[in-house]
Amino acid sequence: MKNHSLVLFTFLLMCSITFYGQSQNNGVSISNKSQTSLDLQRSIILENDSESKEVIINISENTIRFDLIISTSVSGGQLLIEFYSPDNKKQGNFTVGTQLNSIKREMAKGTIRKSLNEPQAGQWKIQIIPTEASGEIEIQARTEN
Amino acid sequence: MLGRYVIVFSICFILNPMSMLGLEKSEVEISGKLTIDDSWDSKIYLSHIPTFDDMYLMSNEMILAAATIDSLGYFQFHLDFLPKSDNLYRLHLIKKGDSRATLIIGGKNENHLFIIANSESNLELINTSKNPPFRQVSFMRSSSNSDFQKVTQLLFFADSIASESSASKRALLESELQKDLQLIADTSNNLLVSLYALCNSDLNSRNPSNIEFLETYFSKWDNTDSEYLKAFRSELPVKDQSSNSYLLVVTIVLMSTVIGFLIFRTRFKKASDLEKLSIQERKIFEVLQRGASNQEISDHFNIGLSTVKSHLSSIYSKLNVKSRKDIVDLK
Repeated sequence: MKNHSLVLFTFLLMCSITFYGQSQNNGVSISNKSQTSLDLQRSIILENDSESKEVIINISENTIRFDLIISTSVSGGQLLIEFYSPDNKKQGNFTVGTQLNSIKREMAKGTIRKSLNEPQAGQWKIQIIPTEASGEIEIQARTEN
Repeated sequence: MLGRYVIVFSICFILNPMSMLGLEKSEVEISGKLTIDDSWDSKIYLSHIPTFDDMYLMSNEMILAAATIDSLGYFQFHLDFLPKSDNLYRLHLIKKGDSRATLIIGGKNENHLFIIANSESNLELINTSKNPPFRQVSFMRSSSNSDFQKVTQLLFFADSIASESSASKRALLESELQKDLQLIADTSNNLLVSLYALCNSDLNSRNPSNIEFLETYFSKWDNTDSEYLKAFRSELPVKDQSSNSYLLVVTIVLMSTVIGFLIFRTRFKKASDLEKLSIQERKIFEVLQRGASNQEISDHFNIGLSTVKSHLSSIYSKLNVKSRKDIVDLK
């Protein structure tokens, strides 16, 4: 019985050492690969809002990929979304809206999706320009270094 | 039996005199076959795009009509209200459960296609890509839409440049893209195709350095009455005459101020310098200004020539001048 326990203990110890060693090796290989991180996830609620907002995403020199999704849904008013690169060039825009004085509450939705390899380093800007807008904006930005 | 059919046909013909005279209201047909997956709703929507700035505007009010896509992917719009002139429209699909006013830009779910149509149009289109459904579309019987689609393909290409290439390769491809867009803008016979290319090129109206090109461009389309052209033209930055006039007035005022100040300073300096002279020197200065010689000064004041020279030397030094001429000029 005592021998069996000793064998089992030794076996478990060997397994643990092997597993630890493997996990250490994996750690090294991961550090050599690119790393994806969720840089920004932001939700903005608009309630009859007419105040412009700006969301800045900082992209560093060593970023190899940049994915951005801006999703909006508007139940009232109008919402303009503009997306600018660091050299202030417009990279995309859309407007979703309903008639300002409409009694009927219908939803309008807009989504813009951008995927860029080796994006320009600097401040990428999302301009949010609502006009008496009610609704929601979801921004998701991911970068890979 | 045949006689009965003839009678019915005749009655129909009589009751519909418009068709007999060929005056029936023209009906536009926009039809096509789409290969789409199950995630898409079986409705397709048509919206009017009043200006190129509104291409990515989405609201329920913009939607003109909806058609059902049958199980084989066929759809048909029959419209009798489109204007005579070419206008820009957008076809879009929605994902099941989404609001009908949904616009998706970029990615595999991009859901829209822009088309040109007028009251005489008979368009037929077919897609050859499932995701996104309108990435590759062919048009039958419409060269203007095929050309419009070529510009769209160039813009898709521009997007793929941005997402798949290195920065240096991107710059080269971007330059080629600009050349292609500018060529289409310059040579297309269809205004909307030309404007679409122009709007997306570096020659667009937001860049003031292109005014000369744009003025030539507008003169080419001078006889075309198009709201799209008017809207685009209204964005052209014109030389502001009022600001030029303002600049001229400011310059004149500034120059007058500077000249006035210089004159005042000269006179003030002269007056203050004269105060440095003695009474005798001031008298000699007045005679000098009239151009008198040393001998004449000597005779006039009954003083010796050496005294005259001594006074002159003192006057030159106090007034900071070097010659008689400088004294004469001090008026």
